[in-house]
Amino acid sequence: MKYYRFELHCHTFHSDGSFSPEELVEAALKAGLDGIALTDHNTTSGVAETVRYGEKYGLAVIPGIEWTTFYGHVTVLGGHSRVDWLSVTPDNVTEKIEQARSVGDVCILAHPYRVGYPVCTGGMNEFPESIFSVLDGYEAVSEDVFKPTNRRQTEEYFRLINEGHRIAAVYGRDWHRPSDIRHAVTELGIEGALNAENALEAIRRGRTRITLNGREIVATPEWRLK
Amino acid sequence: MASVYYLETVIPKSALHTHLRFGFEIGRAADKLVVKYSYAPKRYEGADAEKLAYAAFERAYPSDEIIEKAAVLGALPLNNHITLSLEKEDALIGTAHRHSPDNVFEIGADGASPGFFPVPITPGRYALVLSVHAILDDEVQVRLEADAI
Repeated sequence: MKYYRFELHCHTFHSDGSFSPEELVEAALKAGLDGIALTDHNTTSGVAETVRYGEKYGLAVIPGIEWTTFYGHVTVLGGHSRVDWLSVTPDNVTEKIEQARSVGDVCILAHPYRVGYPVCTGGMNEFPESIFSVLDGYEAVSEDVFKPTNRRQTEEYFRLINEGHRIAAVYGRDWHRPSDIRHAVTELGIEGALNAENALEAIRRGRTRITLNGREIVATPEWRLK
Repeated sequence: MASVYYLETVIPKSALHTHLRFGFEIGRAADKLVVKYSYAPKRYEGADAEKLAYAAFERAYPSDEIIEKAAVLGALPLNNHITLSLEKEDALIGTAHRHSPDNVFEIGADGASPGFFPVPITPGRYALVLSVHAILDDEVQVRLEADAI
């Protein structure tokens, strides 16, 4: 197994980012990443082009989408499921996640304590507690690493782990455009070749750690997820 | 060019966090569908904007964290935010998650604006779906136009 550096939460102009697919791939390589997940808001229309540029330039690209609902945001990685984001509600979100996971996708709760409505609709998680029983991952740290909300996110992550939930810790830069924020990366412990499917498996197995300038700041407890 | 849909309407604050569907029929095949979509106001000018933003920070921050006024002011202005999706025969063709209140999108067999998938514009049932992510004013004026070309 070898650890690779990923950014698992990225946007392009297919939603509200400024990057073209090619610019995103180039920016990721310049940042020293080995892979990204494309998670445009409520669309996968940029996936094929981003995957093509990933292949051209040598960057692993995980197809994905961010269900940007009124009550919380979930990044769905893999590109296997066809859940209509318009149909996702607090009452059915666990069922929709199970539907996505059943065909091979990996589901991650994004920025659970971002400042929410009316500053950012759905930015703060308002889904029922039952969601934690079906998630694969949780952004224990998001965006600027030193934002106060990250302290709450990390505490909440370890509360979930201590309650027995099998959820991998990941970082989400929520990368929309070039910026100088103090960002981390998610390192994925990948067995075999560096590719999207093996990256997804690393998240499922909890082989994840969040690092800042090479130093681990949060990791999925191995004793939980072996 | 044929106009296949036109609507000027008002979305009330009570529609917050709903998806509003506006259906129409296309009778003849076309090369592409051009959708124009705009709403106003974008920016919320209410005197309580800072107070609303502060309350959102309070809900998200750790209880022992001091909420800096600069951080709250940095979250202003608050905005109304309505996104547009297109459905064909009840299937989602795409969503344009944009913050601009004034947009034009094109969808056809040979290509589509970012957010949408290329599809042939064949006769059938279509719907424009407005997702009301944020509405702070009492009402928002919306205009929707769809032309088959």
